[in-house]
Amino acid sequence: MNGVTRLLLAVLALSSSALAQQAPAASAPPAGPKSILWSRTWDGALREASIRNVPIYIIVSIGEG
Amino acid sequence: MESSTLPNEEVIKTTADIVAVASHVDNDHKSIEVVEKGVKVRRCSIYPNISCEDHMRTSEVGMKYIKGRFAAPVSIWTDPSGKEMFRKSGYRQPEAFLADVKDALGRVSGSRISKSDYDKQAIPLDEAEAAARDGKYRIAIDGFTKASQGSIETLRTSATTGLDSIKRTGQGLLARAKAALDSSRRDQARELLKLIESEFGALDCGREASALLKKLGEEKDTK
Repeated sequence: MNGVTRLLLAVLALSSSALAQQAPAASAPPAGPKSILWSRTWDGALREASIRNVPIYIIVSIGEG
Repeated sequence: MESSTLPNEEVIKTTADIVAVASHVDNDHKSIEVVEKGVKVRRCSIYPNISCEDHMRTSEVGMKYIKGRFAAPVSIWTDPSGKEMFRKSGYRQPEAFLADVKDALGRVSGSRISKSDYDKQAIPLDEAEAAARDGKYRIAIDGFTKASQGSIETLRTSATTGLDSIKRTGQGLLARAKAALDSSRRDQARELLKLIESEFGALDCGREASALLKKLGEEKDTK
């Protein structure tokens, strides 16, 4: 195997490795959609709002919206 | 509102300047499977960064402000202490919602801390507290240490308190291991010391446990 062949093989190996890293597995669920960052708890919301000195928005809702 | 305003990109961006709580009483809608930090988790389809259990739990929050029957949805805006400033009934289109955000921000004076600065310290603190509750002391020590180095004093104090509590736990375990050694219960002592070495390795008690284990190993070798 000459130097050029070795180089080509190395480039091919690198390319396929990079592609494998970029492509998500077919069965993997997607990352979550972009979202408002809702607080998980009321205590956490109050702590964050008081420390950051920002207002709290509460949506009171039922059903599918 | 959930289907049009909440996923709106401008709304999402702007709400980094506030704190948001979903008080949603039922879970008769879909959940979705997503990957967070490499782990598959189920999330609510309406509030995609939390689970339906989360918004079912925070559904109690709305009842603090609304008594009796009401027409959903209702948007309640409070000051940082939770005192109601104003409310809006019905669906809010993105433009109206953004105006509400501006109105609410205008009613809260004083300097603010950005969400990203807050999260840098609050997330390690929350993770450390959860880890400490589960007895995962190594993770807890790491989180408390990170949070104790931040600039927000309240969070720094909580982190220091958490770290002190873990130090006491580690020292208590070390005292038990030493007592076991003194009464020649070497196997029990060794088990405890291994635990302290692995979970409390970043603390003085962990380093002392490591030294004692080494000494025990040397004594075993000479016999």
